[in-house]
Amino acid sequence: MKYLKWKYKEGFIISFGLLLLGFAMEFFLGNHKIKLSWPVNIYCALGFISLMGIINYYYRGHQIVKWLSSKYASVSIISTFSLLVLLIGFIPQSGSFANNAISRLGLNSLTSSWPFSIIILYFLSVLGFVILKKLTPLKRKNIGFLLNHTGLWVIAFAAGLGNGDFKRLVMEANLDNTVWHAFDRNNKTYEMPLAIRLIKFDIESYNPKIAVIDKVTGKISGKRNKNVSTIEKTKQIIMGEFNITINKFYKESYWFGSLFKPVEYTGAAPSALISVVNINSGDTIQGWITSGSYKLRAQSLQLDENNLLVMLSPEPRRFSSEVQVITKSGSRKRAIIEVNKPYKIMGWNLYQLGYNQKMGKWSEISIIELVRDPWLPVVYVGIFMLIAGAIFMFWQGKRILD
Amino acid sequence: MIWVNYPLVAGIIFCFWIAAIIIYASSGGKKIFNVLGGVLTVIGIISLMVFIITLWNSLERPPLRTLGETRLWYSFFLPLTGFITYLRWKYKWFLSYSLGMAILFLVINYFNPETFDKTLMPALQSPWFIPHVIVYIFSYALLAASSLVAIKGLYLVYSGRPWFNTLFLADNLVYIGFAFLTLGLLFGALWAKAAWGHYWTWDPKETWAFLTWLGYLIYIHLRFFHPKKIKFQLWVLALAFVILIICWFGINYLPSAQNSVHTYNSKVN
Ligand code: HEM
Repeated sequence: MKYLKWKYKEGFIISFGLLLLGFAMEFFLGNHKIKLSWPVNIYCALGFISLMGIINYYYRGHQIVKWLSSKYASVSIISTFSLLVLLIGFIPQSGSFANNAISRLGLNSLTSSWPFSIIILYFLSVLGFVILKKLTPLKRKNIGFLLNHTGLWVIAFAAGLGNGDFKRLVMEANLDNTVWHAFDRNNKTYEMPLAIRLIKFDIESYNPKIAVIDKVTGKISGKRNKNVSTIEKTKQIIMGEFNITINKFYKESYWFGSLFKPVEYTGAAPSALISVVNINSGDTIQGWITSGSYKLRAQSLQLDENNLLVMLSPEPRRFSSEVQVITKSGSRKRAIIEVNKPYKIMGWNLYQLGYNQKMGKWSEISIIELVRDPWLPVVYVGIFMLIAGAIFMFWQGKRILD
Repeated sequence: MIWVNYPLVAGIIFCFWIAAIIIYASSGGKKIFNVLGGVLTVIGIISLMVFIITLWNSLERPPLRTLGETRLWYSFFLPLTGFITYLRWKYKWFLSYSLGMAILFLVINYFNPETFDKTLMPALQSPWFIPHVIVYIFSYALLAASSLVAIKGLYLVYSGRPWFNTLFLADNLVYIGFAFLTLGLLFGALWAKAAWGHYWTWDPKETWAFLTWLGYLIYIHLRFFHPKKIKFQLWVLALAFVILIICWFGINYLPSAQNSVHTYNSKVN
């Protein structure tokens, strides 16, 4: 059978043609807003895979099929795809639909645009035929190749098709009510199969830092790393010409007219009783400092005409929400949700997202993000194939070709 | 407090690794020296591992919280990865390079004890943090090296000298570096899933990391498809590093980066 004489020129004509077609469709038809969701996407998936399989089985000698798995098709589509990603890298993807050229062409929401979808589809076809060509007959030396290429194909395929089933909602859990509804990014409300009630929100903090700052500019005086220090067990810190002694330190305390006492009131703040000796002049100053809270004003200590000793707001070490999760079937579970440690229930992942920042640690609400992604296991299969492929690549290196 | 022992432990490891670097530099291909260097490297790695385990025990939590603790892991994983790469590929200079980086982190920890109590924001407290950063450091080091080698290759090609071995070295560095780059990207995705709810959000930093990856992907294929077009490919390889640099340093200046979750520097006290 004769071989199609298409090379790079034709490859780029095809992939750029598809790109332009996509932009034209975006311009005239608007953003497609197609989100294939269950079960339509699984039919599409099976349809696409069987179609590829059938074509490969009956027509693998056909010149077009051969061309689709050629180096010309590969390089042109990877390059065109990279160009599209370059646009994503340069143009802020705000996704708003103001009526200017950028949004008419979908340039600010590229990942859900016609050109992106069309290019991905073509990409999956080319990569698919590349894989099928190497798959039969299966050879041992092609294992690395197959892991890499199939891994990537599976990730792109599953991520694309699963997009419509991907749900990302936000719930505002509070101390008073059990909340059954969640919102999406456009503030649309959803009734949920599970409800959340906040038992306690908490921020654990590192010990605060103290710093010598310039009275006028408010910036740290002198060398940054010398004039800031975390309050630790050591009681003596020397910062520049100041010898600082921390006589008392309370992580949570409140101001009682003339001194701080350790209490756990809401709005309590860290405080320290400090005495400072000026090494040059011998002057001694003593006083309380605090970083303040939404109920307490910050207090600092004047060291000399130019410098103040301040306590910086403590930096968070851990955000956590202790919640009760209630399902429609009536089960109740206690759970702790932390940053980096989502809680899994009924196919949903619950993430710690936010809180009332003004109240900080005593926030009476906790914003929980609910994420559902039923295609994730398939994506993970792809990711782990690709990881295995990368290890293969490391071990095998570049094989010398004659 | 176990940190009290740090200067002693670090001092010993420091001597071992310095000795290893010197031995590698002067071994001149003698097997006995290479073995000796390997033994010193491994003893250093094991000592550091023991130190980390003891620290872990005494803290009753994984030592992942402060910058100082994080650096310990760098000092541990860099030589480990370098040594595995050495076992497989016999790149002595690269092992010395990773030992040098590890020593640097040991020394920083010695001179900056105050950073032991630096804070680590909650999103960074993840088991993926260390492997993610390590493989990226590694892959950047290898890819940077490949671009340098490419420049040398260009010089050789243009001056008509034999270039085959140089080119083979460049290719190999790209393959190994690209493997690590892929791992970095994927570990990042797994981490993002745990921290931010989705493995891929087209955040500017992710997009640029992906572009870097695509750049080297194109190089690998062009190189494979057209093994004879040497000059063109050496140029591509030398330039690919530019994208990498943009991704690494330039990201904060791009218009699209204004709401990246990865630019933490807005939160300076
Ligand atoms: C994870 C991403 C990828 C990696 C790591 C990768 C790696 C490689 C490697 C190392 C080779 C050399 C073949 C070998 O040594 O056996 C190769 C060949 C090839 N790749 Fe990729 N590749 C990737 C993605 C792609 C994509 C997206 C396409 C096309 C759309 C593609 C198309 C090809 C083709 C056609 C060959 C030649 C196969 C042959 O005829 O032997 N690759 N790839």
